[in-house]
Formats: sequence, structure tokens, C-alpha cells
Amino acid sequence: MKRNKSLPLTETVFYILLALKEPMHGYLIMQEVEELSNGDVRIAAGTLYGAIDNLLKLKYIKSVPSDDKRRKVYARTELGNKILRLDTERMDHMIQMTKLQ
Amino acid sequence: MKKYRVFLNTLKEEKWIQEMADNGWLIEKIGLCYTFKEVEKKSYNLKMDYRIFSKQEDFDVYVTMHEDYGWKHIAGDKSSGSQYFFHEDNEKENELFSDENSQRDRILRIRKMLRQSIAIALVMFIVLLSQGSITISALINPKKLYLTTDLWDMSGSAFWSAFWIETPFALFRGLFIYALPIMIIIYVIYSYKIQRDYNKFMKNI
Repeated sequence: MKRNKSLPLTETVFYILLALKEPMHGYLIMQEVEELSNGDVRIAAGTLYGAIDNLLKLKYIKSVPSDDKRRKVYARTELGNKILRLDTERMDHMIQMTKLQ
Repeated sequence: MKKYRVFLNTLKEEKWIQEMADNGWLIEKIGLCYTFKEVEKKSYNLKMDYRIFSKQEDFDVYVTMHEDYGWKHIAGDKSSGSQYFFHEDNEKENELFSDENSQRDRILRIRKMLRQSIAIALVMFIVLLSQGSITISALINPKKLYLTTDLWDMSGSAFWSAFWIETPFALFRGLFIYALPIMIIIYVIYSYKIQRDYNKFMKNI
């Protein structure tokens, strides 16, 4: 089977998708990513905006209605769930192979 | 303080605005001219992003996301391209981009804008050329900018008075005729420079 062209995800994109287990807005995503990565990954503002913009275009995430017009709330789509799972499996495989050595 | 400058190269503009900030002049507004305000502190964390938005709503979301980080949007609007931000805290936030992909994407956005500008300028040039508004012979031979046919056969004071009377008109026509080709050449040079920077950048990652 041919691998999905979007794989592997970058660390930034992977963590953003992972953070969106529930809908949230941009700055909260950054804080969630910082926590999930034990402070290793701190996504800068321009990078976050660009990554979200790109994920919206790829339809891995979508914006959901919110009260705040200036802060959009994003949620993972079905496609986003799938791509996150595929990348996790890819990394799982690498870990398995490493353990065999 | 207002300053009049024309930058075709956005990266040069960025460098200049940063130098101004280092000297205590913080950018306030970019319109027909650059407006600066004098500031006390001399180490400002000033950064430029390049983005054009199709909707005001998207621009607002973009600015708000930066404001949440503590970046203050100080110059630029929906369609200006260059967006300038500054942050008071040098330690906490010092970059707009934290990974190579997004640093590369910023250069790609600038390159795209440059290529579009070249394409538009070329089309305009070709249209003017085909309409006869610009002729190759006038480009090569500036004497053709003078429309008085026997001007160059005159001599002495008759020549000089006719020459000086017509010079302002010739200069104006010259400006019109040369502006586009010169603009295209400058754009192409900057486009080449950005491509070179981009290749260097890609080699490092």
C-alpha cells in the first residue's frame, strides 16, 4: 500500500492535531501543545497561524461556530482523525523496529 | 516623522524598518509614506510577516492570534502584504516562526508576490508596446523623446531655446517610457536574490 502523501506530519502539525481532541481556539492550542510536549514545543504565533491555515485547506480541521468573531474555534475532522492515526501507526512501526535491534 | 521610500524588495524594507527601530524610530503606519514615532527604548523586538488576506475577517483572526501572544500589530492592513509586529518582552517571544516550514513559507509568499508583480509589469509593457505608446527606438535612442522633428538640425540659440522648451516634456515622456522596463529589471534582480536566499535556506535544513 502506498503511503499517504501528507505523511510524515511535522512536529508542529502533529501536536496541533493531537491538541484538538476537543474544539479550541488558536492560543489555547499553543498552550495545550506546550503541555503535551512537556514544554519542548512552543509554537510561535506566525507558525501557528500558518499551520492552522494549511490544516483548514487540507480539511484536517474545520472552524466551528463560536461567540468570539476574532477568535475562531477549530475542531478535528474525520480526515484529521485518520491522518493522525496513520502517522501514529507510522511512528509505532519505527519504535517496534528499533526495539528489535 | 514621515519618510518617503519605495521598496520593491520586502526583505530590504524589513531590514530598513528594523534599523530605524534600533535607532529609536518605531514604525507606526505604512501608506504613501512611512510614518515613525520616536521612542525611548532602543531594543525593540520587531518582526515582519508577509501575508495578503482576501477577507477582513481572516485578517482580524490573524491579528488577534498574534495579540494573544503579546505581539502588537503596528503596521499593515488586509492587502498591504507586509505585516509588522512588535513585542515588548524580548525573552519570552522573540520570533514569529518556530519551525523551518513556516520560515520557508514566508519566503515563498514573498517570492510569489514578486513573480506576480513581474508578470503584471510585463503584460503592461507588452500592451503599451503593441499600442505604440512605448517604442523600442525611443528606449534605445533618447533623442526620439523630442517630438520636434527638425530640432536636432537646428543650431545656436534657436537650438537651445527649442531644446530647453521641450526638455520637460521629453523628460516626462522618458519617465513614462523607462519606468516600466526599469521596474521589471529591478523586480527580476530581487526575485533572483530571493531565490538565492531561498536556495541557501533550503540547503541548511
